Amino acid sequence: MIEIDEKKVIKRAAKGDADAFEQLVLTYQTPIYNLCLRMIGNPEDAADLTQEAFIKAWKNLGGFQFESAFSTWLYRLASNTCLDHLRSVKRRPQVSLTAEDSDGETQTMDFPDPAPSPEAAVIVKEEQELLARAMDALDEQQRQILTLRAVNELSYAEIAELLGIKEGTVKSRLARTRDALRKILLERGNKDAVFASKTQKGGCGIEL
Amino acid sequence: MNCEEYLPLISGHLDGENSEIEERRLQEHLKTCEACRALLSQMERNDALLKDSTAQPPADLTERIMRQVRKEKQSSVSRKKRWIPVAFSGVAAAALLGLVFWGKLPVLNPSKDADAPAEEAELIETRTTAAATEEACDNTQTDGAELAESTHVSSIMPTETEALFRFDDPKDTSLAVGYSGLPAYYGAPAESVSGGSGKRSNPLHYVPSAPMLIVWNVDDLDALADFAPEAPHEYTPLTANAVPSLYERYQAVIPFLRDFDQLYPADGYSIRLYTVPYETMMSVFDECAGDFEISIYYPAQFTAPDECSVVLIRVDE
Repeated sequence: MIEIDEKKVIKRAAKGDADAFEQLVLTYQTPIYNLCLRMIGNPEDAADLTQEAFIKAWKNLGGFQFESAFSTWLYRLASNTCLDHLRSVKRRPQVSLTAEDSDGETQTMDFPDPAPSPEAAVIVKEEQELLARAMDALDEQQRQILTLRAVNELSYAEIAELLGIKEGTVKSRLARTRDALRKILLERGNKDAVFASKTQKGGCGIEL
Repeated sequence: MNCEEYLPLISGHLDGENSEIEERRLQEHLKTCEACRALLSQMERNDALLKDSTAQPPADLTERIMRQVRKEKQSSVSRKKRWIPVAFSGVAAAALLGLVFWGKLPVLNPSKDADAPAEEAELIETRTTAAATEEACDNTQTDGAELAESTHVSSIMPTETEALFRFDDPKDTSLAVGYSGLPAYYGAPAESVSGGSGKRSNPLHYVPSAPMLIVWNVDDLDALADFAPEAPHEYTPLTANAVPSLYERYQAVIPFLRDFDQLYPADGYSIRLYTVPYETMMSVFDECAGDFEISIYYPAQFTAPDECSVVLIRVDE
């Protein structure tokens, strides 16, 4: 959506034009959904939280003053909604993507098949599932920042504004997050014989 | 060779956010360091996998959202005037502890810093950088300079007031920018975070111990002077220690004021502390609502204090 048009649409939506708001939903629901999916780890909750975030956006659009980009505002709203959700469920027992979940249950995300050949697709899918579990083992702020960058492809400047931190902090935090993710995968790779060969050939043996 | 220091450059490379110099340094290093080359390709792979696993939202999501949107309608129009009653409905008749800042805030620069303009800009930025305290509390922090400069100031101010319009649910802080970075003394740290390095005591996702309300950029300290039933305490950093009763009464706000002290030269501000009933507080906020920027923070579980504290701060230019 071109920026100027978007501004008009936002203003109309802020005045209560639901059709205008629908345009915003159509534009942003996929990135917002994926942000939530990565933050939360399961599709049902991700859809619910996406909905919650958009409802909040709708209700609070009057407070949006174009001081930041609308997308930044919306991403912030959605990711904070996810953080709130994570905090509220933290003490409750829950099914998690984490492999060492206390009740031993695991659940995996349903990924689209991105690769053409079935065999390659299987491998990629396995890797994605491993990665999803590793993501789940990150702390929520790490998950948030890495998702905003790697999935939503926000720039450091946008992330800095969204999180209220400096770009230098974004950089160092992303570096540590990527390293943490790598180390989690490494640990799991070593533990899990099925995946060991695959995760080790990428040079996981290196200890910095 | 310490590879640790190349980590941010590798990560920055993946994001295309390295400066030219950083990029050159990294490339030089990669020529000779197999470990870092492997690291880079691993991280590259992880990023690609993350990106590729982008999923489509459920087909009916738009419809679900829009159905609710059409039901909800907006509670907008003159939002600024309306938000306060909404805010307090969540707290029912309970008393409220609030912080009201009175003053022109974006001024300060401790006199000790000689090289003014750049330093000042930096300081203001730091002040409004809410989440930066996280870094200060993070043992794995590698960026020492950043840590030092952000310790006291960073968390006090929210970056944007747009964030503060959600009050019908006191626990809903999703619109608050500064919320996550409040200094630890506003309450117990957020529940510790699992996973990751395991070393972190992470205050980022932080909830204050008592509701906190901040009104920004009010020039006239007397503008709302009539509301108080009793004389205010005049707070100064020099006398604060000598008045234990003051501490007792305002214990929730004193730690904040101490940080404030470190930011401003002792004669650079005036602070008045009031204790007022809830209704009075309400009327103050009613009066503020249309004219001033207001930020509010709620604790996760609201426990109402008997009285409300109001702190008026005017920063003198």
